[in-house]
Amino acid sequence: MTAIIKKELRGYFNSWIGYVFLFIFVGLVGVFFSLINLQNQYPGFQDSMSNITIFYLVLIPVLTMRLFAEEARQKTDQLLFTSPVTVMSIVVGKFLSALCLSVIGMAITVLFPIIISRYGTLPYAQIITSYLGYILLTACFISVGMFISVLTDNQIIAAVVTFFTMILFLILDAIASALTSGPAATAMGSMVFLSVIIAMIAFFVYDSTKNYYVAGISALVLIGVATATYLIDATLYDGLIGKVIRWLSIMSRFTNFSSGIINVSDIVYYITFAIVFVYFTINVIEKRRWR
Amino acid sequence: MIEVKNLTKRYGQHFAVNDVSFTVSDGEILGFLGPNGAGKTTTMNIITGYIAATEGDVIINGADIQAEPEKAKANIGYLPDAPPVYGDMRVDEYLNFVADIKKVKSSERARMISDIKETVKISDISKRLIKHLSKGYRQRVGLAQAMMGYPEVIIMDEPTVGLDPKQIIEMRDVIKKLGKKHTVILSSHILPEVSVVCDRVMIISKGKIVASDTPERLSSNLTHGHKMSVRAKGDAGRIVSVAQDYPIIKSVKVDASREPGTVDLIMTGDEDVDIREAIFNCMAKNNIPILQMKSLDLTLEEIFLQITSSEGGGE
Repeated sequence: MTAIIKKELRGYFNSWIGYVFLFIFVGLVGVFFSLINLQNQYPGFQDSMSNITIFYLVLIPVLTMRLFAEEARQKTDQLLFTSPVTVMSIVVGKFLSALCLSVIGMAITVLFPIIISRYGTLPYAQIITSYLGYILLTACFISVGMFISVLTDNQIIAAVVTFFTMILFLILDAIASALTSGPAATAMGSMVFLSVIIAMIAFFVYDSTKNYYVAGISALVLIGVATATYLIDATLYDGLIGKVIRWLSIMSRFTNFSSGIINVSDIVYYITFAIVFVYFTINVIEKRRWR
Repeated sequence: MIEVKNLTKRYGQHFAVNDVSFTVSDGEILGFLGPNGAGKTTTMNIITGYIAATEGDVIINGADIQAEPEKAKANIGYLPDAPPVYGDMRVDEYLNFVADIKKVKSSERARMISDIKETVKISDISKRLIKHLSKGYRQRVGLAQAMMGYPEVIIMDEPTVGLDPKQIIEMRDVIKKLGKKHTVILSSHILPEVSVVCDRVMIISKGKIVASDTPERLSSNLTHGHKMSVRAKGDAGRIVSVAQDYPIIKSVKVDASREPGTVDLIMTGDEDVDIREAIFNCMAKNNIPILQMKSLDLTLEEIFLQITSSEGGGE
């Protein structure tokens, strides 16, 4: 795995991508640092940082687009997947290398709060939790970007799809509030939504096990549970879509971190999210090879 | 030692590889011969564990490629049809990375890399970026990659395609040298090429093995000297009429006139009949100088037609 990490990090700096990423990331934090902290003589560095998330729209695709797409285009994936290393260590190595590059970027920005601390009182707790939140958030986005990169052999397509996926993540909160009222929020609407989700789960189970019975039985069990819940207390289903989407929203959890709150469920959520997409990536590769 | 048992790869209704079985013993150089789309690359991709077979097993030195992929892959070096090199790495950087993922011990690494560079003659380009290398050098870097860790089996997919004649000869020498220490499988769609380097040739067509033999026996079975191209000096009409009257020569066709005052003809006899002497005698009797005479190399397609029709589809 270290071989992959080393190679990927070197790859970032052999091409322009690593430098561009660091330049833009540190530059943007610097801009907000001078606009918010220096201009207003305000020590809350976490507020400067939280302005960066919007730029992740561009930064994450830059970081993840080449991870697998470029290997497929250059056919170097034939080297990786015929070498005596596991697919998991390749995928995790690539994931960690992208995360590592963004952590390098964050490490450079630590200079800004250090500058503040020379002249004022830093809100240490908020800044530290902000950084923690940032690393977790970046890990989630990278795992998604990596997953998209494994689906294509074209970097540009990977970048564009990742870009729009990032937009989706950023507006998920707005979608959630729109769906907490109106017809989608009724119990019936929620039932439809649930059936779609159950169908997706059933498909996923079939896809991993290749067994119709297991998939069918798990779908039936889920439908049974859903119907039972509906019959017992239909009010539970009111506004379910909105609730679920809000629960899924990566961004809303991030605000906790920048206000200095460390919530175990948030950390678990982020880590699980990243693991799920790393797992999806491994699965896509394994399936391509074992079918 | 490679054992391939009942290998099948199906894409929907199409069989890319259809029930192929063979074994390759240690130190043997085996050539896959077949036209494009015959299933050579698919077979190699399956043996190296890049893609999975629909059915069948591949066992490399006792390790099943599906059940114990890491163990089996440790014994294989693979040079695919496009050398798997990173354009933005330098040659040394790349070889170090390959040594890393092939788990070469760090104590042996420096020597192994320099030995391999010596073998494939890339020592002088160690510091160059791979994207700036010519196709021939890239191919050699790819081969260096396949040799890294000195795996017992080296598999090469069309290793000489796109090289110039000098590079092709050098590449053949390297392959022959490899055959002394390693088991080698290579593929090609050019008959003379495999016959030069391989101990055994397997002809693959439409996903099936249609023939498997030493190159000498294959070609002696296939070229009977019954179809010759002859360049003779003189008037085309006279030569044709003379040749047609001669008993053993069954048909005469004027091919072209490539040299002034001469004519190129294609003469055919009955199958299994060597007509070379007949041509000589016939022309000598009529005082027609033969300037050139060569047996027409059978094209691969013709070989396929012959093998598939005479042996009823092979094994």
